[in-house]
Amino acid sequence: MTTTTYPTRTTMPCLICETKNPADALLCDECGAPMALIQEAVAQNRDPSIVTVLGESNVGKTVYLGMLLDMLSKHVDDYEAIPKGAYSVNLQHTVISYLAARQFPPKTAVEVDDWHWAYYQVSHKHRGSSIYDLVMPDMAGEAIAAEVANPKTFRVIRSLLEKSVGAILLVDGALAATGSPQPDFFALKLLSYLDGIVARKKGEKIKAPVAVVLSKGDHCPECFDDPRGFARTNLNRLWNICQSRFENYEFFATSVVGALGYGTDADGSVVQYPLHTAPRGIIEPYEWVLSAL
Amino acid sequence: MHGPTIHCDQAIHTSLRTAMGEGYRIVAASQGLRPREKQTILRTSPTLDSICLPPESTKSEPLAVSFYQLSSKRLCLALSRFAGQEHTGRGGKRVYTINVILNDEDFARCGYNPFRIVRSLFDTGMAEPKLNPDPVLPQLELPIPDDDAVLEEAMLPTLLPEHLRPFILDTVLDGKALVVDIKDEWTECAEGMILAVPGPMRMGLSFSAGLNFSTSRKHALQFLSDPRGKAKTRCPAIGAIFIPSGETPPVSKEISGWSTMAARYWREGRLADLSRRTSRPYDDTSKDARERLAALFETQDDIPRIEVARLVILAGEIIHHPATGAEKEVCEEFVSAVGASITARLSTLSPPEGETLFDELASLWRKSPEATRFAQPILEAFLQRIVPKNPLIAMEMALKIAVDLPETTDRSQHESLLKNVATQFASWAKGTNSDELAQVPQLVRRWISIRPDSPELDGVDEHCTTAIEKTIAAN
Repeated sequence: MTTTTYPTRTTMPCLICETKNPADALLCDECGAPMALIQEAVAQNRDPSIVTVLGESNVGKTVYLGMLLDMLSKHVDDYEAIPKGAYSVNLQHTVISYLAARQFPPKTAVEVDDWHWAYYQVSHKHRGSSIYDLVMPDMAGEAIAAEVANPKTFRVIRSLLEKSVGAILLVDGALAATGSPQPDFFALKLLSYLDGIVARKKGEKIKAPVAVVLSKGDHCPECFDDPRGFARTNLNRLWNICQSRFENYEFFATSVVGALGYGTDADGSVVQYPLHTAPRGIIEPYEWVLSAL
Repeated sequence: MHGPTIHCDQAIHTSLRTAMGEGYRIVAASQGLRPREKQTILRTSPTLDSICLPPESTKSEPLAVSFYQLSSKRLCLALSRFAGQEHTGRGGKRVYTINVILNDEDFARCGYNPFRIVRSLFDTGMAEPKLNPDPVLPQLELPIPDDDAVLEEAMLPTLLPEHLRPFILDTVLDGKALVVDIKDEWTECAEGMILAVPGPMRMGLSFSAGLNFSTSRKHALQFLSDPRGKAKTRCPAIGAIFIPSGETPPVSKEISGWSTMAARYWREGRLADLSRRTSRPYDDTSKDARERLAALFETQDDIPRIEVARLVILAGEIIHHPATGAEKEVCEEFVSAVGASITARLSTLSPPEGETLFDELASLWRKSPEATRFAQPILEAFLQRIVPKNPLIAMEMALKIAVDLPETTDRSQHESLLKNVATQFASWAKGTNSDELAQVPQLVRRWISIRPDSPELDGVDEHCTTAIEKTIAAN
């Protein structure tokens, strides 16, 4: 018989939610995070620093994170990033492959076990000998939205944020530039949620660095000139909560594609095609978060 | 033909762009949906290309069904299908899921069959994707169709190998998680399998059919296609047993009586019969109870091949089995079927067999009110059948039940029966010259000693005595 039952042997806590799982489990039974993370952390014998990339659905988290990891592994700006496990390379592999084929990568599924997780050992060749073990999951925007709207829907997100040393919050700059209040409201909700999780004392500002990244900057080049000014004007609610509740925050603009082509799918919906990539402002937010740790 | 109409909450989960956001979420729901229920639905609902694709040759529409209990203890039936392309234009098809949230009483009214709700969704047009729904939906009013006609035609797909079926059922009944990889007909397999689970147990059983594997959906039973091996790799994470597609060697596991019974129904293509037996509101669905019921059902199906004497013994046992609720009904049906079979086979018995059987029935008849209810009509049928053919034997038999009447006997009916036997006996005795006449006077005297008020026998004794004397004189 080719059916198999799996006996439970020794257990190991999940790196994210600390639920005990069988040592040979691939994914945490509670939150769905890969157990390879804790196995790697044990091998390194030090606690990894988790930096979480947040943002609503379709804001560009997957493309940004994939491009960031790819640039790090290409030693851009003298950063050296070593993936800990082949699974860590999946995200950048997917993103770069799709962009090379002039397509955006598929949406990230809401199902937690379909998320890409990246575990990298990062250091800078010329800025001291600090080595950071960075864990960065690519979460579905829908899951983040659901967790913000109904806390504890996706425990993994809450656990991640509780353990995060810093966050990169992506906001759709292109949409904000058109006057849509949606990006501003979502970011406000998200930071309010983060405030509720991370704030230790009432009134005390949050020290963890939060980089607010205005994505799709190719649609609104003005955001590169003055990200803070752009945010103050177009994302005023977000700007205000950052000022009131966060001690370490900064605004950045980013863009991955250089030019877009447009077509329609079978239902007549507009489909965007990235004609070529021209990464801009990818490393800076990350560099700033690292420097603030 | 429709059964009951149920009222339940609904929630539509899909990917839409609205003023409030975009992406997969609950885009519309009725007001009765509770926050914790929403959380579970959000976690469990499929997104992107999560529906298994049937082989192109079948040209059937990809459909998925899942069923699970919410933390509120209400039940969620989810029907998922594709609804055009993903609106963001990032490839893939949009998955549209309508969730029906109902309570356990309504589920019981659906015969514990979640697929009746699915059929109702299609019948009422509620399965059609609505991509511009009002955020607040009314409660669903679903007329639940009778499923007898559907099930009479249904078969458990042959894609599911016969030798695996009882193994799967036993595993599910044991509460273990199981993922079955088959190429197609996931919902048909699921319905056939679910119908073999005792009705009330189905409320606590979560399953999915036609949904790609995800550890986010911790269903106890999953029928799916696993072309990329994701389920096979990840089953350990959820402690589930994975059954790969294609041929597998025989399963070395002791199969329960219940699953053996179900396997027979599947093999014979009798899903409707299986459903009638399993979909009852059993109070006790423990393994012992299931084995008891299975033995009873198997014996009931075997009644035509069991000797009549053995049937009386079985009836005696089952009548006095201390069952309650639906199990009691099953016992009553069994006893009734035994009674009908014995009655139908009375004419096939030889006289000695008949007499022995009558004695056993008469003995059972006196044991308890339930036994009286069972034996009385058979005894009556027996006497009515035999008295025209053999009044002497009928009279002898009637004598055995003419005294010590159980309290619950319908006395007027019984009296009428005895009088009828005595009358026919008297008529025969007055008109016969057979050798048996010699037995009549003594029999009449015994009868009158028990039942002094028997006018129908007036003159029989004298007539027979005279006839006998004449015969002696003639010889």
